[in-house]
Amino acid sequence: MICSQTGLRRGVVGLVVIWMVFEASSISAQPVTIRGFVTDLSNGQILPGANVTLDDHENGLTGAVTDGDGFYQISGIEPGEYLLRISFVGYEPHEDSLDLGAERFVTRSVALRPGDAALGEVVVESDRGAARREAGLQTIEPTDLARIPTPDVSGDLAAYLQSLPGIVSLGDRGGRLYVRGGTPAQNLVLVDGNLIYQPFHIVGFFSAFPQDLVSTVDVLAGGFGARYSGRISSVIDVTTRSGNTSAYQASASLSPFLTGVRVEGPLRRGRSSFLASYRSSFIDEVAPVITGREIPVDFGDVFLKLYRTDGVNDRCSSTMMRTRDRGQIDTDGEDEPEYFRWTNLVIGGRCLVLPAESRFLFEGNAGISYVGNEVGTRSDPDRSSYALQLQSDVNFTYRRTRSELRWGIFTRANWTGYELGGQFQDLDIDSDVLIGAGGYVDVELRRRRFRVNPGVVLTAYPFFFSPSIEPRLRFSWEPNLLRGGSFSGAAGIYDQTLAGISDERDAGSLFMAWMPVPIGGRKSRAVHTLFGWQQPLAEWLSISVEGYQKSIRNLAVPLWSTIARFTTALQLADGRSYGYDGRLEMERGPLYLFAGYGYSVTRYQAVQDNFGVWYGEPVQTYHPPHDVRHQLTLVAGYQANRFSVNVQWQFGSGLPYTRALGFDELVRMRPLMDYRRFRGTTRILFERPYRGRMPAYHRLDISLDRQFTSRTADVTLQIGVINSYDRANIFYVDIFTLRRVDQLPLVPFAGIKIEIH
Amino acid sequence: MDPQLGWTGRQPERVGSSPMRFWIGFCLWCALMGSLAGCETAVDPFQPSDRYFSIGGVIDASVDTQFVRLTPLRRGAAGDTSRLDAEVTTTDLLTGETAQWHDSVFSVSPSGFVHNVWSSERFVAGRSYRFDVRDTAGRQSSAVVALPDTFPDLTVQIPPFSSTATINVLDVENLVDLRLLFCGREQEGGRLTRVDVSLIEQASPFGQGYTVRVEAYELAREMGLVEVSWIRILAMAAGPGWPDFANIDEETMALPDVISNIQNGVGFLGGVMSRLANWPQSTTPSDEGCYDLLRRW
Repeated sequence: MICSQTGLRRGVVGLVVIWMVFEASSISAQPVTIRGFVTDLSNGQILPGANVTLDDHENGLTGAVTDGDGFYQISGIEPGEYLLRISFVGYEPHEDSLDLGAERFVTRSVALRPGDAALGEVVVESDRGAARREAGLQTIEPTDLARIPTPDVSGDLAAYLQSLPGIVSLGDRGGRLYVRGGTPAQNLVLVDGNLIYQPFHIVGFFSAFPQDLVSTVDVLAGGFGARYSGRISSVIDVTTRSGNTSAYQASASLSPFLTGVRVEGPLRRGRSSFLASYRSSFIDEVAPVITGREIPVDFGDVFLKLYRTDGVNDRCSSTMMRTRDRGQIDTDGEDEPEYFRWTNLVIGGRCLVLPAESRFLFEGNAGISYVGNEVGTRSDPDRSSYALQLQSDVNFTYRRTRSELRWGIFTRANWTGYELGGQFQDLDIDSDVLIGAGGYVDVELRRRRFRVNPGVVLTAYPFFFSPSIEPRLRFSWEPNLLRGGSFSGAAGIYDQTLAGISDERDAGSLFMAWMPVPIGGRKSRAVHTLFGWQQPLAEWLSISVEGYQKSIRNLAVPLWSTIARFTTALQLADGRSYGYDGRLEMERGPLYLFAGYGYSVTRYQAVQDNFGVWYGEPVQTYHPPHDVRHQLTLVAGYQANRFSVNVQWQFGSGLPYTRALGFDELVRMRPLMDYRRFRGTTRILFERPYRGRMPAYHRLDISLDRQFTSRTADVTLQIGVINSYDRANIFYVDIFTLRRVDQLPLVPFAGIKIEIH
Repeated sequence: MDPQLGWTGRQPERVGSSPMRFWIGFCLWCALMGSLAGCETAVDPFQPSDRYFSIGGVIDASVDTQFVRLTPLRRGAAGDTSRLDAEVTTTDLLTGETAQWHDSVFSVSPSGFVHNVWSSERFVAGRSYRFDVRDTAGRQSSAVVALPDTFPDLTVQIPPFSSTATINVLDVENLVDLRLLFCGREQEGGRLTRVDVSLIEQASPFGQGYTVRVEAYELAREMGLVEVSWIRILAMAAGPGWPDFANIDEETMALPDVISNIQNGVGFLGGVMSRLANWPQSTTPSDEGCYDLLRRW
């Protein structure tokens, strides 16, 4: 403990000293800082990725790109006269002559007017697009979501994520995403800075994040920086957009899977707004008609965001999101199928403040996140679990010319409870409270073509766990080898104290129980390393490739038993995932093409006495059910004359499953069972876990949209088809009945969306 | 570049009129989709192995009819009532004599059906037998069963004015079961029923055998029986090679190779010698129905 604190102190002091030394070499006389927010004049939306340049007419240009909050800052500017130019595709550029020097901090928040002007001749490069990645980070914009055909007249984050190599879903239902070998419970999903536990709906095309609500999404498939903690696999950081501050708008959409309404508008024109959305499924009603089979699921979500800004220095928002999912996966069995339910609730607030006389950008978040899980019969759930987290954090960003210091502190209070009906033999009914706090320091240093970003996180849960110290490092380098190409990498240690336990033996089980790490108080710990190269081959064509490795210790996995029952014990396993993925993206005029290939290997190693007795060796190495070796995604889109067509073809090599040698009844011998009267314990003799591979999966989805516009409304009509060649893609093999359960068959769909503005 | 020319500079070939091109494309598309849809998606969750049958139970040298649980390793948890594809024989390893066994489907609790094969052949204490099961495809599972030597009748002593009895089982090396068989009426409903209570965990070594003290009628009351009309005592001794079941948990026991003595199969088939005696104060059933219930163990 003392060593840990000393180590942390040294780490933090070291990072700050490095930063100070680095900055000392670049301090110039009375430097000026200019910063501000860039928004859309027509609706008040922030504009991430806008270009900001300063031209002093003599020494050339300096510039920045607005971040996910639409914020930019240029520091270390010599006093003098400058031309400030802010531009963004689809907006008229803003130009302003500035005489800098009188004040050290100048704030210029600018609202751009939509127009036809393209980006100017000077581009400060932003990293957008599926093939633009830096050390595992990809930034997704709403237009990206629209490229993936979904049975709704709007794109969705869930469908988009599943098109990315390295992100695996076991099937088209279930709402569980595995990122580069990590499990769903190891993904940190944030909505406006607050945790959301299970945001992906039971039908895999949908999440709580439709295109209409999303501003930007940062997906960090690994190697994430010190800003993020508490999960060990990946980060999906969603920033929702705020409502229109200038005008009222509404939309309604109708499709077989989902229907929804959205309204937004100013509360105080130019200063505050609201955005509300409600969506609900009715696929359970129409599925028998369009697919000829039951899809007994029901899901939906409610979203409300209130937003306020002073127009210059601060912007605050409060967000409420509630999701509901319920339904059955396997409806063809003889027994009554399990009925799953889960509900998320997130209520949070977030403020970004730019104090007038400070170099710091201040960000504060506070919120509450809840998830409730149930499974059993429709009328009588026999297992349930909940998790509740109260969280708050404050974050400071101090930007200099060639560096940035970010630090923050956070608190998390977790309440978890579960009632498992004997599913896990060593866990039945319990509830826990886990209160912790921590902080992080993150330094970004930039030198010409090199950028390095060391950081460290400290998390302490007094009375529960020893403190965690998690060093992180990210870097990028743009050598002169190929113009515009960059090499990037990341490494770090990641700890997780809250576990989401599910029965991995049964791929059809969507139930997840949340609890503090269940075995021996040992936190799960991951070590990530990744390296990648991205290369723009032309303005409209880019390519990237990235390799990674994740090593995870102390995973709680189900114990394999030969007794055919749902009950299982838990044991600890270690995991290792490695692989690479490559992406090629082309966007030229109306044509969009994307090809992504991912190769990955995930392997768990468990020590189990049973294995020793069973197979002669106690250590078993196996590939868990989400180990997809090859993934290939091809996406094509074309827009012309208000028509747009999107096509996606996905291929995944077969998932592992456990084969059986057969069923019998175990005759108890002590005391000797009267086997003329009693059946005995039904037993399934398994082959070694996950030695079988299911057939490969592939599917072609197509959508065609036609938009009609008028002065008051836009109408979009959509037709399409999911699984257009009706392939019988297997979802999973039920390990207790050994019956196969298939994914959705061919599903034609049509939808309409009306947007009133 | 001339927009009318392709990248090679050659004039694009005319395949035909636009509708024809559309239909050619459409047909190619359908053929591609059809071929993709028809790709093999079958999955067989069974791994073929050299384990064919599950065999469980005992051959008891002291009874006139033997029953052994026999299950072809099957493809589902539910039981199978179809005819057993198996020929079952036992061979006396001393004399080489063989005996045929017969199939029976039993309705068991919890609800379901199982196959128990039976034989009325006489099995001699102290001898060894090979139990063979062979299906029509020639797949065979087998076990060698050693029967223990015989042992004397067990004794029960009940001192005067005492409700506690002492049961002694003498000259037994490996006592594997000792139980009381009660026949009486259920407290709720009054139905005539049989209840077995094992005493094996309470039995302690005593000289060359085992002993246990028990209050039989108190035990019957605890089991919810009233009007106890017959009590019998069963002692069962095992032959060599009997696993130490007392120290193996259920999970471990369920593993295929832990207790198995079946070649090319799973399960355990043991050899035993049993003694069935009447409780001194209950030598004959006061209720006729009990005879059938407790006639055999």
